[in-house]
Amino acid sequence: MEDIIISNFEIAFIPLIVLLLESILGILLFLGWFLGARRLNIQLHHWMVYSATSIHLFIWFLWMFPKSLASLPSALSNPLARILPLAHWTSGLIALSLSLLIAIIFLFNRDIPLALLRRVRPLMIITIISWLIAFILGFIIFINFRIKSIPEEPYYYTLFARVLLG
Amino acid sequence: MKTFLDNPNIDVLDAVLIYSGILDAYEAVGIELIGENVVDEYVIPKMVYYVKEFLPEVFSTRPQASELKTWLDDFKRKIEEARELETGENFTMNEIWELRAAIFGYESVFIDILGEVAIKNYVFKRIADILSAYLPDSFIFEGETTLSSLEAKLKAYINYIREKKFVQYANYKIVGESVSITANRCAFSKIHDSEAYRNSNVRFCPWGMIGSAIVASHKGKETNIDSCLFTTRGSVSKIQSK
Repeated sequence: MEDIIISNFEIAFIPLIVLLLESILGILLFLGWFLGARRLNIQLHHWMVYSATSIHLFIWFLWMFPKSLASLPSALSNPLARILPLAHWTSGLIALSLSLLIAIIFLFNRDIPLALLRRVRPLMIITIISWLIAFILGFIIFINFRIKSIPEEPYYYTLFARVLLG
Repeated sequence: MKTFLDNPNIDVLDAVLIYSGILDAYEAVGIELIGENVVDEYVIPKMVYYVKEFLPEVFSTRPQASELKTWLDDFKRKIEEARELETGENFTMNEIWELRAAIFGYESVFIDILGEVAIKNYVFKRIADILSAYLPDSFIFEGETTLSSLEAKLKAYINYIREKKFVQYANYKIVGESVSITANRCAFSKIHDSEAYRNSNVRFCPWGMIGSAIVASHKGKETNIDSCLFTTRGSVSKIQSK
């Protein structure tokens, strides 16, 4: 019974929490550009990017990586049918890898040499684009899933309430 | 990105004069430290490397120092005429851009000859001092009254460079004795794209230099540019008064 509760909680609520966290991450990236990069408040820009990367890394390790690893064999066996999640995982992984790389580069080059910045700038743009693609695809997958699970939703909420209230 | 380079109808005499003031200040300090012939013997021959990419119309197929000298002399004459006529109308927008390229050439040669330490510890203090004589009235006065605070003067300066569309974003910050001038999406930022600019370890933003002259003239103290951080389209200059 406990397994079922955890499994249903996982299906019903974790994607919602992940969506909320990724939306916060998007807001951080926007603020990092609007208040940071645009106004050349480099410190603020760095903090926003480091926070966004940490949130993404946290979600990836706890949820996205184990989930996608478990679903990967079935997705690869019929890639055309699972093109949406495969594209979501790939673009998300590109965004995460590049953001980690950029964060590490600027952690060790705090004086931001212009020549380095010029080389890294295209990577920043690729990171943002791939994160946006991953976010939009993730949102579509999430909506698809919610539509499919609407008839069962009251049941999940009951289980969630049971978990919360013991 | 629309900048003042796209608008041929703006009279930017103040900018022409203050930018040429930076060249004059470099020259004056060079004469003090190196000698009377500093520009002809040291600056112009070396400067060709730094500016040939930006001033292609100045040079023939093989860039020569003599061509650069002729251009620079003509340019200075034109600036003098503009000063006398009190109008910058005879300047095309591209010519003001060329003035920026010339500043980069002067700056790079002086850093080559004198070294970073001398530039930071002496040259910039003198440049801020000399340049303060070139500051337009609009940075110092509001109508007949003198702007009393440093904030008001820096605000007038920031508004000027924003209104004339030299930059899309500009700001200042005062913390104790330190002032930072931020300029982003600068009309002259294509200079950041050049190989000579990228490979220079030390460079200074003219907007920061003008800011340091405002601080020097207001406080009556020696003022120095501690650092200039450059991005692809902007810069943050940290100014310190002693």
